[in-house]
Amino acid sequence: MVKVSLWGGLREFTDGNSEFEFSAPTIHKVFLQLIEQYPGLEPELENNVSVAVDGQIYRDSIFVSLDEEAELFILPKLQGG
Amino acid sequence: MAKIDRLEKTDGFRVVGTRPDRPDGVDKVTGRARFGADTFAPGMLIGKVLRSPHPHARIVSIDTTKAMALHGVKAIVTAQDFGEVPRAHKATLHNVMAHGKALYEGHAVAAVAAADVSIARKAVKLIDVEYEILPHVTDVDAAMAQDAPLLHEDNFTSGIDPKPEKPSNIDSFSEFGHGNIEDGFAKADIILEREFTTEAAHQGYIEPHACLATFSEDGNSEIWCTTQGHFLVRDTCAALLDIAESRLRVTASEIGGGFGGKTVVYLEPLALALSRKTGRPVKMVMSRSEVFRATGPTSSSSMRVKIGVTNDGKITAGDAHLNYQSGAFGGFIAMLGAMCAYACYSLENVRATGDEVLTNRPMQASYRAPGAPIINFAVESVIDELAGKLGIDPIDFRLMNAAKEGDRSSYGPKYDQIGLVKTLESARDHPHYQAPVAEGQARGMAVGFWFNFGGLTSISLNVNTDGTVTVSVGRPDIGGSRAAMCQMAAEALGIPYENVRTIIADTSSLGFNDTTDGSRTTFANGLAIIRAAQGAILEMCGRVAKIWDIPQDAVEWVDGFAKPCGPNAGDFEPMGIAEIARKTAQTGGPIAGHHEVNAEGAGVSFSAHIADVKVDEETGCTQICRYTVVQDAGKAIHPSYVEGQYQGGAVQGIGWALNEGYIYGDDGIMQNPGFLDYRMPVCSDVPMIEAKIIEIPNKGHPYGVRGVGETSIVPPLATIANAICSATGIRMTQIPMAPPVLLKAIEEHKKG
Amino acid sequence: MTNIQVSTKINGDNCEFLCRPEETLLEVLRDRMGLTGTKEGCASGDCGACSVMLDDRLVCSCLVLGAEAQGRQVDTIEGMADGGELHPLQRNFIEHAALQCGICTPGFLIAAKALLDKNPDPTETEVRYWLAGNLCRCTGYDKIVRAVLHTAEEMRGTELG
Repeated sequence: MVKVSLWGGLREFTDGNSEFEFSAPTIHKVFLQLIEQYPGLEPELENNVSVAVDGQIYRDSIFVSLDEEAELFILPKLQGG
Repeated sequence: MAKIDRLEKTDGFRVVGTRPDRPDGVDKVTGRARFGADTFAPGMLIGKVLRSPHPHARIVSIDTTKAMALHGVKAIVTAQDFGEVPRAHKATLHNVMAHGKALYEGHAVAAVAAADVSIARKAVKLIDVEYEILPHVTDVDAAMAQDAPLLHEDNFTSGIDPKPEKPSNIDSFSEFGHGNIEDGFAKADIILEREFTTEAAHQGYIEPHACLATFSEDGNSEIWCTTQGHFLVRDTCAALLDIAESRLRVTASEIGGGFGGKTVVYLEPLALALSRKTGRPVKMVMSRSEVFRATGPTSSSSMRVKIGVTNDGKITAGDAHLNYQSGAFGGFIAMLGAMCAYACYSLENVRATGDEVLTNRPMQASYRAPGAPIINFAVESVIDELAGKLGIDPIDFRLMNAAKEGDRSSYGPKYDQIGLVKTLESARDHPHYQAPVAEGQARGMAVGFWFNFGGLTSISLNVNTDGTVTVSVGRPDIGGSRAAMCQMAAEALGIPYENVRTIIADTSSLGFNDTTDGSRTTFANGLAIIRAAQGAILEMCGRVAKIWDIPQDAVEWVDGFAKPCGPNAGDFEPMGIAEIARKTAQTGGPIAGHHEVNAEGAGVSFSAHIADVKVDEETGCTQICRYTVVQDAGKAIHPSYVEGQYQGGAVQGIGWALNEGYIYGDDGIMQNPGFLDYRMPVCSDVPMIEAKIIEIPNKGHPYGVRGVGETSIVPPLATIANAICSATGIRMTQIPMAPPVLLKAIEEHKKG
Repeated sequence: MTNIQVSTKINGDNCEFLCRPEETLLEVLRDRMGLTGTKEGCASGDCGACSVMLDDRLVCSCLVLGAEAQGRQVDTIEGMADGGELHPLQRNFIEHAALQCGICTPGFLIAAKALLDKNPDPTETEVRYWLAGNLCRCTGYDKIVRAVLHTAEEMRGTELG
């Protein structure tokens, strides 16, 4: 199972939950399952997040393949100067 | 498939790591290089902006009759000339031109196009605006008070549950961390809690914003402008003026500094709207005062930091709350600050929360590692104080608690390969840190973190018929990056540096490229260039296979030559790129490589700084006597320009620490909108900046590159505060630590 | 308002122009003569990006009126190289990576040349104080100072040898 953690800012959309486990081959599939449970997350996941997969930050890419034991952390979309 | 000699490598470089002359050097030392304001067009008009003299006012009416009657005035635009825009662009539009209310002193209210600059200036003064003056707020804490004047009546803080019922000036709340803070503090032997404030600093690029826009009757428009991202200018202007992206071609001029401040549009949509109204090209250039009053700066802040530690030096908990003032339209800077707060440390219990606060100040813009230096000042000051209390060397204390591969970062994910420990060890072993502190001086150090980015990248690489190569990239070269691009292309192709030329292509020539920011250019462009070179090499090997009449997999590419390889190859003289290029017409046409990617895997970086200072107790003036930057570059493509990034970031940080800051009176008007009173470091303020490059390859890049542009501005504020504390015994909690501020603190300290 | 007719010499060439009384030398150079190598960073004499030589004096051209050029000689960055050959300062700025964005570079070169013309053997401190009227936001000044010191050494060597 893929372990998924959300940053604090998303808890308002998930009834306060921030830890999940899914069986999912890509970030995209993780998003779909999250949105199914919490439809309010959809605009956030679509526009406002980056995802760290085992420490590697993916700013936008959602079709990244995931290992079965991958750890995901969904964090706000980052911007530099 | 042909074989390519070592495309991905971390050693054995031929061109990478050398220090060739930059390709645009001659243009820039002869005055030939054309920056934003250096262009002209036939029939060109000059545009000027009328700006609000009030920090907060309702715009009751705008009467342009007298201005339009002035001979030579061709058009005036106001908010009415812009239609509805998608939600994502609303703040940008309302910042570019005030809609209904002026939200800060300097906020654009109208723009004029006239035959020449003196007419345009006169016309601006002839526009009659009736304002209803509203109460204003420019201080971050005051803006958060219950009874503070509201900037936006429809602003309900996002990021808190349940959603607030009353509007406020808090744009958003964000929270990061893990573990249990209270448990952590319960295990601590020493707990320190301190409060800090910082003032806003401007990016301070020497070139003011400038553009030339031409809207043609056939619907095709062009903009020439100084920007960190011309694709962003195109997409934003297209959205604000409701034109198709394909109809708008944006060319980036040479850019005279940005540091994050040129990642937003200000003049471009106004110039284009004026051009649309007049049918003439319109040029607009900001004055320095406009740059200060209406663009940038970064946030001001108030912060609280609390850290607990055991007697043997283990940090048990770190807590921080950040209030970042982000100007009239909010942003994401407190969030980034909260993410970076404790990123250098391996903590079981950590929490960082941030409030993004609206005030009657210009919309904040990114400034080099946006948000990070501010909170770093607070956290690294407390860390330094704790090290002192424990009697542990400040670098050793940081090493005892440093984040390592596999640790969970304070902002959430686990770290993969990171170089913090090596950076700190290298700082500890540096001759500067090993040298005794000179008589009358004192030493301080701090360490900082920044993310670095990759992002959308599209490049093309063309092999010319003489075997030279032209690389087209889509990100402005802000600090010599063209040299690094040429080096990486030359390295990958196995040809001399001099045989590659890199140009910055306009928005109609390439796919979308993210802006030159986030320390991304050498990382992301480089990655794409190496891949594009790979494509061109494969094509060239294919052509050679045709010529030699052997299978393609019997051709290999070594050091710029196609060679036969393997049992089926036969015996042929190696064929170089020039000979292959000469035969392109016969073998199938032009040879090119291109690559389009969303470059991920930029790799975070850390920077450790050491400063020796002398404090004049009679004037409160701090002199920097020696300064060293130690930072991980992954792989330094052109070491001189990597050093330049370290040195430049450090001196910007020194300026922020010691002098720079927006000054507001009770009237909400900026009092120092010029370089005389907003004092950036000059040559005689600083010593040589020692730059030590560490190279821990980033596995996300074929040559191991990490971004280097931003991290160097993160540690200076705390580094200097810690040195001042060593010198005077005074823990400064306020930035800038300008002479009058420090003098007052010294006098109070002496009184006890 | 009546324009003023001015006869002057720019980079060694005689030239004439008309300008408004309030027009600065910087505006004349950039907007009338097309010499955009001289930059405007502040228009208040604080940044030095518009540095030019007026006769033998280093000035901020934003603080000089165009009309003041009457009968005098103006030297700008466009006249610094000798034909196809760069001035040693120009070459050393490139070789020492003494520029990043390059907007302040013309002003620094003009100011540094004025220094070396007066003082061929400056100390680091003298270089730093002489160039304190020129702002650079990119480099932290380190490589600029090194380039100037190196040029001074090189030019002294050339003269001696």
